[in-house]
Amino acid sequence: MPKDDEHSVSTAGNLDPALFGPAPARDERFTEKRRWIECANFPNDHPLRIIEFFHRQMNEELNGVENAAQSLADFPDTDWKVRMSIARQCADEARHVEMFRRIFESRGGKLGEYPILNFQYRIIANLGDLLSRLVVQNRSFEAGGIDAVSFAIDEARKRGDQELVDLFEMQQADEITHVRFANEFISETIRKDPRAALRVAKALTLASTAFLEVMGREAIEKVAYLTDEKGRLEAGFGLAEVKAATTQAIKRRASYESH
Amino acid sequence: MSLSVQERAEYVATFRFIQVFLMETLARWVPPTPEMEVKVLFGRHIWDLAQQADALGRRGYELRAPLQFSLRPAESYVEVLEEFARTNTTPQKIHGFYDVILPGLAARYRNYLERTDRLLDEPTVRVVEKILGEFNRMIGESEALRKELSQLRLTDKDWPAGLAKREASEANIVVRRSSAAVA
Amino acid sequence: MAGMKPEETKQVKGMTLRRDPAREACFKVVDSDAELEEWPGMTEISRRQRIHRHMNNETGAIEIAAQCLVDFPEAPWELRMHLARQCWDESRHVAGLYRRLREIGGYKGEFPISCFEWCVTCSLDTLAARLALQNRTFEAGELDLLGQLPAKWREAGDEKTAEVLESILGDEITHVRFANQWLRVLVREDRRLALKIAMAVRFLSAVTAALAPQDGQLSPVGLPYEEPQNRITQVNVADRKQADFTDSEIDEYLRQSGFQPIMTGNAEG
Repeated sequence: MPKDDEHSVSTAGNLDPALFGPAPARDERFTEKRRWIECANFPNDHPLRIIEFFHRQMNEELNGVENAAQSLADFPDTDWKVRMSIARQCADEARHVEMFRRIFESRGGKLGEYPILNFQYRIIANLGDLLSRLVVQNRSFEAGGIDAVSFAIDEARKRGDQELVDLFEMQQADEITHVRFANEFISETIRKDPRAALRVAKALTLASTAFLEVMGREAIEKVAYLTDEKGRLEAGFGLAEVKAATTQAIKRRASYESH
Repeated sequence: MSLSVQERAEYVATFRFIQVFLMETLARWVPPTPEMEVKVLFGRHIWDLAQQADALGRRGYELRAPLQFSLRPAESYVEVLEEFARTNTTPQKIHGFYDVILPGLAARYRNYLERTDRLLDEPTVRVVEKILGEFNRMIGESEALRKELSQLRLTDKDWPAGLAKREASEANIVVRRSSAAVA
Repeated sequence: MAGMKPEETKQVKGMTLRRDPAREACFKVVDSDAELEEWPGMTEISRRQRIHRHMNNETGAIEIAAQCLVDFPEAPWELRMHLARQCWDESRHVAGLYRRLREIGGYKGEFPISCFEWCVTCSLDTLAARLALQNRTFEAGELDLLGQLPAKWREAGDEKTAEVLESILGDEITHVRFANQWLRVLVREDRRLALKIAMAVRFLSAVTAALAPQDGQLSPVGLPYEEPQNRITQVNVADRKQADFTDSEIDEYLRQSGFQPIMTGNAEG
């Protein structure tokens, strides 16, 4: 496992060790922060907002590679078909890192220019079984990503940024396949052993608690998008699940707008 | 400008249609082709073409089309394929398939590689590059057989040129659909 | 077969069968296995004849799988993939046997050939029935045969041919297995196919009876035909299990093959 202190990590407000494992390794170009509030959170109309987003997203995709790779290493007895899907996910996430790096640098960014968060790896790799990891990484974070990307595609299109539309569309197609194989694995696991549903619930509770600790209410309440219902259906969510996600997103937005 | 995800899905589904068509063409030719070695050659390549179609069919799914989805190419190109599938003599089958149809399709694959964003669309690029490598092997195997069996060589040298002209006459074989028709 | 055009058929001893597939002029194609030369023992000519015959059977297997791809384009894609893969496997078998045939001094067309399996199987109008005959009957029979033949070739001092046959056996198991697995799926989805399969088996019995040699008839090499009961091959239980035959199916086959007296509750041989 990577050691926590091999690169610069902020010490402000240590995270709950029951929820977070060690950080993945980064070279000296990068500065890791522990909480969203410590990052470079530019206002919506700031010209650097999108540049910083590319850098942040690049690192999140790197977390995606690291999580998938860690699961391949940690669970060698998993069904081969599932391991193939995870290996494929490694390649997809690695390509996403390159995609975001390319657009980030082509628009004037320099690697390490902004702080990064590694909460995804620290939360997910800390879970002890593959079912829990896939529930959190693929079915929660990446499914949330489908919704976010859908919204981002519309925004980029409105701005006439075709390069970004192409990037997001491709990312979205890939994420759908990751969520889909995870959904299939999760359904099959619970079908074989209904008690596994308890692990799913526990993992989701741990992850949402950890997520809130990193992001704080400030970040979560700023989420402006709803659910991408079509994308979620393609990714293997049931209709009821998609509707529930939409209802939750509407409530979240209403709560934000009432403040 | 590069291709959108939907356009990529349409290309991939169109390529899949052609691959399945070619697999069926070789299959159709196996029983009525007399030469045992040619039956063997076709039998080997049926599996190559099926695997290539399968890889494209899985890639199409990743591009948000249904799993193993095919799109019929432009009608003029389908007519060329259908007419070619009715070819009778073994030398014409061999020369037409390995000297004209596969190289023609390879050119369309290379054109796709030039048009798409090789990073964003890397999984399709990998599938297509693998197919191109396999096409080279398949063509090489047919050439080796032609060296071994001189009766497979074509006497009418104009025939492949005529087929090649018809094959290349339709530059764009992908028929655009509405997004709902693809998904 | 319903739907076969007259020009696609041939008449043999009152039976309507699919016309033979194309062969080169060097081959003499006969209508039944009874018309083939069967040289006794493991003499040089017998070895060449055995490989030559096997090579043609494998050629027929390519043709049957290829024709299934042509005739049933609406079959599930996974099943079509198996058939395409089978084309490749059978092609390699032909190439391997042809190489061996030449190594021992044989050549194409040295002996008459029969395309019996093609003529019967491709007369059937459903993929399920064709799989039931070609893969589940003919090829499963080949499993039994190939279970014994390598030892016979080794006894005769021919290690190379034994190795070729063992390689073929590995592939044939996969062909029988996918047919067994898909037949269960197809019949579950459409119960009427069970009747089609039963009719196919009956058709095979009728053709086999019609084309069988007459009492007292001598084979083309001037020898009496072996009695059917002496031709029974030992059932290859282990490989049939690998090919996804169920225990009860193997039990039933053992019974039909005359092994009832030696059968125990367990079909392990």
